[in-house]
Amino acid sequence: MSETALASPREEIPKLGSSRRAGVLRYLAGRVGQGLLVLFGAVTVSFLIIHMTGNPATVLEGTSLPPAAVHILSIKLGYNRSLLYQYGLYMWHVVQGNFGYSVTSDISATHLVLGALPYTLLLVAISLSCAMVISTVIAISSVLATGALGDRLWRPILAGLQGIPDFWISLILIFILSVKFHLLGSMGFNGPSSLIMPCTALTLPILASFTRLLRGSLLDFMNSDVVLSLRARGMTRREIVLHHGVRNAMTTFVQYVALQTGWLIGGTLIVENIFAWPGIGSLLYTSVETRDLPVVQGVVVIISVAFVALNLLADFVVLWLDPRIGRSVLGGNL
Amino acid sequence: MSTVDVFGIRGASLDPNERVESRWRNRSGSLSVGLGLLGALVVFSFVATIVGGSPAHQDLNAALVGPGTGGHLLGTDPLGRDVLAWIGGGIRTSLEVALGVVALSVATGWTVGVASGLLGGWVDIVLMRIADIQLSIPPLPVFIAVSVVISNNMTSLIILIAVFGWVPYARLCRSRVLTERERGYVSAARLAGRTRTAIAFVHVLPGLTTEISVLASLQAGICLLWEAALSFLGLGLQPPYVSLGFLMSEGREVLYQAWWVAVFPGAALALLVIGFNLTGDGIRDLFKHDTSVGNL
Amino acid sequence: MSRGLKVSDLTIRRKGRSGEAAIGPLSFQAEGGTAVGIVGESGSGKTMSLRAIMGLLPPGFVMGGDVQLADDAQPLSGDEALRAELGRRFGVILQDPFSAFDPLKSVGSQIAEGVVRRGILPRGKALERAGTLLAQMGFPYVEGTLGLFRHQLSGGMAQRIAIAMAVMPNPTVLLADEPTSALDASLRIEVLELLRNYIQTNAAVLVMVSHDLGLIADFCEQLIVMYGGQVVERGPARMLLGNPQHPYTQALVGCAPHIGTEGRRRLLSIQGSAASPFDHSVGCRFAPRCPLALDLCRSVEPELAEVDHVSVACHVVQMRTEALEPHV
Repeated sequence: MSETALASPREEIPKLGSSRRAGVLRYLAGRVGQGLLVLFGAVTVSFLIIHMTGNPATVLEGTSLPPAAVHILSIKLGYNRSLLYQYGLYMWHVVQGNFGYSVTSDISATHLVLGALPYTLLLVAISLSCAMVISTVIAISSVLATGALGDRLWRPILAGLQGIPDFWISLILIFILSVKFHLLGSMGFNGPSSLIMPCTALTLPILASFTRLLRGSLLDFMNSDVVLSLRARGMTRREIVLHHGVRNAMTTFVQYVALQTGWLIGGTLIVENIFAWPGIGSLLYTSVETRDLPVVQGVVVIISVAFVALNLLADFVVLWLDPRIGRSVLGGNL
Repeated sequence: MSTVDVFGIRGASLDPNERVESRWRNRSGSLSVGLGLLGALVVFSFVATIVGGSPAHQDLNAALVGPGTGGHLLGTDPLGRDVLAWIGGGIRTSLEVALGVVALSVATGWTVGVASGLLGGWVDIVLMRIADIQLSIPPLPVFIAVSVVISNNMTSLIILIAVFGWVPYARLCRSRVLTERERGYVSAARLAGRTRTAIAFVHVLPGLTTEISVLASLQAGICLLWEAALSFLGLGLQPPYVSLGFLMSEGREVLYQAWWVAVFPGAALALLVIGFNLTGDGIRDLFKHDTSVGNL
Repeated sequence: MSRGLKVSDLTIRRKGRSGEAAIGPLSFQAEGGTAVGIVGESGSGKTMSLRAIMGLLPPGFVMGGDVQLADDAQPLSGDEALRAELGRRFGVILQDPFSAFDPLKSVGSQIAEGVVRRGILPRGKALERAGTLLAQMGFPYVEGTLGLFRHQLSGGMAQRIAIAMAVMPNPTVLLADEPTSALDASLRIEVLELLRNYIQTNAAVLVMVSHDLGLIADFCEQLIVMYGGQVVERGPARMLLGNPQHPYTQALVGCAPHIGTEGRRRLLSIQGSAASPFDHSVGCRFAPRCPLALDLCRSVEPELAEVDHVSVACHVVQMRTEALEPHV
């Protein structure tokens, strides 16, 4: 976009206030819309999966319920109606937050799911916070410390850590801390100390991936042209990393964290299973075992909702961090 | 940025912003360790089977013996199966699954990506929306929900895991198609009468091998973890399949008295995943700039 | 020499290599209030030389020689000593105006950042000064401008703000690497005038690197022509342009597109492609492309020698001069 003729110094600064607001709103509306669409898709898919093998009633028949009970249950849950009808009913209920009743216990599925959710959230929140804090510290200090040796050392270590399965760590932790040294109980939720092992098991793999990502973003920034200018202005490396690098690296990092968290909420299952943790992971497992389909659906939908909500949250944070989004562009590059 | 030949800066342009590479140092880093590790594990798996015998062989008289006793280098499980032998078989099973998943994911992703990029329009929009939805569905719950219905079957498992893995490839191929589409040689090829599919094969695919390899290595690692996790929960590959995850689930029951049943297979699994991760990293390093911080 | 600059024997080598320097030796001296132009093609070593003066060579390169500022008793030598002057007595303007700014922060916060962090000015005073400078650069709405982000700027705006940023600490030396190359032609003169203005008002020295001989000649008192990492000619701008001695300089002058009333002229170009400073063979680096090259030129590297108030590194020129001068 070239200047007009001989640019006079009297250049007009455009009134940006209102147009920025409009741009931001448009951006947000777009993201929310996309989120809803995705959620809709996920919910539909979960419905389809459950009904994949045909009539869920036949699935029920595989359980230990007597045939008469199966029959009654099928009618009650609408399994004998057409697929389209079931879908419509399902969506209608989902929107209201009604997932029906647990087949095994006749308690509202929503109630069960919401009851188990806080336990999982506790695990996820703690693991995530620890991972974020520790990974930020490690990433920044490893970038601040000069010398390529640090780089060559860190990358393999982090790659290694990322490969360790969380359920294996759990078992080892239990073995060492519970069995050998009788330090911690390994079953269920018994106050804060029972959080230590499951959270550690969850934190380690995501710690590795967070650190690698943040480090990568930081280094990408440090290798960019802006840094030369910053240096030329007299800024020290430390200042550049802390006051410019971190901010620039955060946008990608936040989005990645959100993605990981969403997956984590669905991924705590094994750890919950091992530690008999009363979260939605365990709930899902037991309900799958008992073919308790309403509960299964409830859990899957909740997880999808969490995932979409977290990504939206990340979008908000990125919006706050990055002034480019939504603003009008006056010539120049983006 | 183009790759700079380290030992002689070519051409007229000495862009002072070009970082002097120490690629040569990195070449012998992650990649060789990663591949070496994987190679070693493959060899180990065959050695393990030779030394330990058939994984399925049960010997109730030698149940739960510790490592080193009675000719069982890594001990036995509750049914007297040799842990070493099982690990050997398990490594191979894991690799089979990984290979299957990656192949299927790449094929699917490539097809979708290329179709999306070449055809454009609403096909593109629809396919990309499907990809987005795919990404927002948490895999583990779905695996579990579906596994109940699918019985103990490796092919089904591979398909299931691949369903969650094709999206990155699709995006990659699509973006490459979109960039390449505008290039001159594509128009030239079209004028010469080549079909769009042929162009896609001949021109688009080769350029992507590096990125695909990187993604594939990393995906292989992840998929190994999934498979083991499912088997651990009793939903994936159960006997007669030889799965590391299965042994670990047994080990969990007897953790108090026989730690080796859980620990060794887990270690083997971890090493496999680490191997794939390092390999993926290594390939990426070879073709990207060294990210060491240097002077500035 | 008040607020002047003297560069002595600046050389650049690859780390670990000894022997002849790839770039240099580069020496010059300039009084406060004047400008030095370093001209050459891409790959001539001009940008690297500037970076060496800044102390910001890329990793893998080592510099030699030193830089003397007028107020100092001792010259500065080595990257660390030179880097310490960045943001204080050295001000830098780079080719890409946009890369001068962090995209996530407002321009205003960045202009003041350098001086505030180095403790040169407190924040309030710094912003005041920023405002004054921006006004000088031709921005009427200072408040509004300070709040802009880099993606909201045009190339011309960005470069002018970058210049304001560079002169915040009232530097003794301005180092500019192709400051106008990324700008539209109409803006170039304006930007150069801003630079000129600053150095004259503050008795500072401007060292400007460019590939555009015609443009730079009007704004600099001295010119240094580089080729293949070596200085081939050096002297007062007027003399170099009016009567270029070195074959390369002659070719450059001949190549400059000429708009004028003298009628149409063929646009010349120089045969061959530029030599790299890093893989040269023996002899004069320009010899492969030089129409006047002798066998001597291909075997012995010429040194700079004075010829009529101008320093030239060319065997042919030196031989011609000797032939004309009476032997003492």
